[in-house]
Amino acid sequence: MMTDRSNLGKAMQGLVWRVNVAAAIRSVVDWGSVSLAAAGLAMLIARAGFGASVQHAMWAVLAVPLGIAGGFVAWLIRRVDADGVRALADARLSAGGALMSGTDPNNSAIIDAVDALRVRCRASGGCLTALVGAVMVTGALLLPARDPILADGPLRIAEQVEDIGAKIDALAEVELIPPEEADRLEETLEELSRRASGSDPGSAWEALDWTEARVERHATDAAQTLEARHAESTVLEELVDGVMSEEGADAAATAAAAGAAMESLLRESALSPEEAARLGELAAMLAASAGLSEAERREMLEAAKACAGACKANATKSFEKMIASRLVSAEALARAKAMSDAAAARLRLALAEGDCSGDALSMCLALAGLPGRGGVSRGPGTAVLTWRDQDDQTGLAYQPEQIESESVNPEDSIVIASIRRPPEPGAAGEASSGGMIDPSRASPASAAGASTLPRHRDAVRRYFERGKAKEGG
Amino acid sequence: MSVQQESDTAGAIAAILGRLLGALDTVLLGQHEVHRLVLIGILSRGHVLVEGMPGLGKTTLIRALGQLLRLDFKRIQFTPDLMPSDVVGCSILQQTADGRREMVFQPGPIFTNILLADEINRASPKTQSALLEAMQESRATVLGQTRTLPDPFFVLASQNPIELEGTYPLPEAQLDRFLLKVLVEMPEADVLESIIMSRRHGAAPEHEPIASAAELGQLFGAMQRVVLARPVARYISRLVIATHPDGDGATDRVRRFVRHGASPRAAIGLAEAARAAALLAGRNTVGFEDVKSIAPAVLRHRLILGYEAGLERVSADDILGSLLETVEEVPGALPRGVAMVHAGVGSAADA
Repeated sequence: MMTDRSNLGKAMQGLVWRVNVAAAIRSVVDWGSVSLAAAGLAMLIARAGFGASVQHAMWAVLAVPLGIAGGFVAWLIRRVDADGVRALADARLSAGGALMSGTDPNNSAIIDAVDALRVRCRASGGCLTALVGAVMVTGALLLPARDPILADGPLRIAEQVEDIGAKIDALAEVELIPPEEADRLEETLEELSRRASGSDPGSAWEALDWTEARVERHATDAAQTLEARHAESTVLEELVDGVMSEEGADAAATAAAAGAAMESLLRESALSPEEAARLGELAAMLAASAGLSEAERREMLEAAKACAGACKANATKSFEKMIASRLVSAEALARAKAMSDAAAARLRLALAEGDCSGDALSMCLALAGLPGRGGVSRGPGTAVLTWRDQDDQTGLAYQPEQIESESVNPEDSIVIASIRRPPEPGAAGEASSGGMIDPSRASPASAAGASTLPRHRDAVRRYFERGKAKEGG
Repeated sequence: MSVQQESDTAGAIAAILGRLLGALDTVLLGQHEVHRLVLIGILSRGHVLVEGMPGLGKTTLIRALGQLLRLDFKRIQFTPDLMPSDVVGCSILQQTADGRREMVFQPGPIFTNILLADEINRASPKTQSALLEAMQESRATVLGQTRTLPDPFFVLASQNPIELEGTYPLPEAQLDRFLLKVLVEMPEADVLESIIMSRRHGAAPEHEPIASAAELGQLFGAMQRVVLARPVARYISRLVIATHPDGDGATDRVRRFVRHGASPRAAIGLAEAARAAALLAGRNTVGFEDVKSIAPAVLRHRLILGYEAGLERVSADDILGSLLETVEEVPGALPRGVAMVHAGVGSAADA
């Protein structure tokens, strides 16, 4: 193709160049705006529909530079037809075919008219599309993050499993949980770690809660046992101490009475079997110490005092281990010490009155509040929960229902909620969120930290609403 | 031909056409556009149908044209009882000087350069059809013998509006053979005043011939040199196709009111008439504006309208006007969203 070097030719080349620039701008704006709109739509769907994070949703914005590049390529592929522009300019100028034929290449009037032609790029449609796209992108960015549907993958519960495992180990170390129960709980935890899935987090969290509640229940039992051991060993120590301070002819009789009282106490003692056996041995010897010399009796009393002190030290040490493992609070140890001190004080009064019988020892412990010794019980312990309606004055007999609490199979659970973080303990007494159990938020007054499991709530609700059913029906 | 020679020739052509147009303007006052269209018809070697109410000067115009071009001129007053032989001629029995008798052909008035078919729609369709062969092929066949008509041969027909009493609408085939249909409108009051002051007893001024036979040949030769660019030819073809209800670019009005659009002969005629319009404008290149200026006269009698058009009082000119606004001169020349504007005037067609 020959290049037209006439003045009219140059003017036409300039016009074609201007049209090309406008076409390129328009093409880039069109494709870019459509890409922006598509990116905005994708971001909105990702954010609102799937709850994708801002960072992930922002990947859609990559479509914009791609769209702009696509517009540029599209313009390159379909360049403006110079002959068409020439013909159109002829039509716009009413040049009578002079531009198309080029018969008058130096006609200054026509050249001026060609130069005066304005090429405008009307990108209003593209701008509107771009505006819509920008609004959608902004809307997607402003959308609050939505809890995503967790992907099917392992659930991150290692921290919780490790924490519960440490508690089980602590209980096993102080030998306040049966070894087979500790093994069973460990196995449950391992199974839970292996099967916990992100697609069904509710089941995993519920099973984890149940396991933790069970461990807490063992911890509560252990705390009660340690309280009793501490109190009993304190009372025995105080008893031996009081007998040792006795002098004179009645000393032998007092020692024998104390030995009998110790035997009586140790028959239903919370002490470990080994400790109870050792102390029982000494108590029996004391009870039969009437014919022994003073020195032999004192030696025996010293041994009994040392043994009771060791038992008390063991209980304190076990308490401290449980406190370190967060199985019990430090207040539990303080309470145990206060209870022991109260029992020791009452025993001193009884000894001053010359009463060192087994009943006196039991009375001291009971008045100090030790459970199982006639004191106030602080909860059901590990007893099976059974709802019964003892009062049939309403005319409605509530069907007794035994609630299984010993076995939990995570597969039998129903997903009632999905959360992506562990349940967080709130203020004391506050209802647990998401139907999960949180022993730490149970009332401080209760000995058992477990609240009602979700699967039990329906039974509890039916029990308390039985009166309403009658009124309504 | 050198540029200088071409320029001289163009100047001479423009001078001749200017003189012709000026003389016609003195014959029929206030009808410059009519004169321009008639001259376009002559330059295109096409036949012209002039339509207007009686008394508007149609006959006077055509007679004056014959005088000005110094061409043989004959007139036929079409009446309902006019026979085809009255138009093309017939053979009659005559006695020769040696006493023999033989059939001698007596040429009809059709054997002339300019035939004025006055009030053509007053004749019967049979007589109207006698003109068909002459108008298309410039020859006439009588009793099996074909005779060539003089060159050039123009039919300038006048007709009254077809709604008048005693008229026979021209058949479509004959209408299609007229290159142009020129409408003669009632002049304005001031023009009418001039006519009253300058015409005593309705007599038009006599004119001396302006163009010789050689100059007329020069005009026809100049027509051959007028350049029609391909984009213009493409525009003409799209315009003609758009007159068909099922054609590309047909508007809603075309689909609703038009039964049949213009023929390929109309496209050829439009291109030729556009060349003549360009020549009359002093150019040897055809522009889009030439096509637009001549399109209504070329196409208006070639559109066959349906009855809905009559009910809605929509004329062929209305439809053609909308088509000329709708059909783009150069579609697709500019990308979507890019416009070319001149002197603050933009076009919606290129957006």
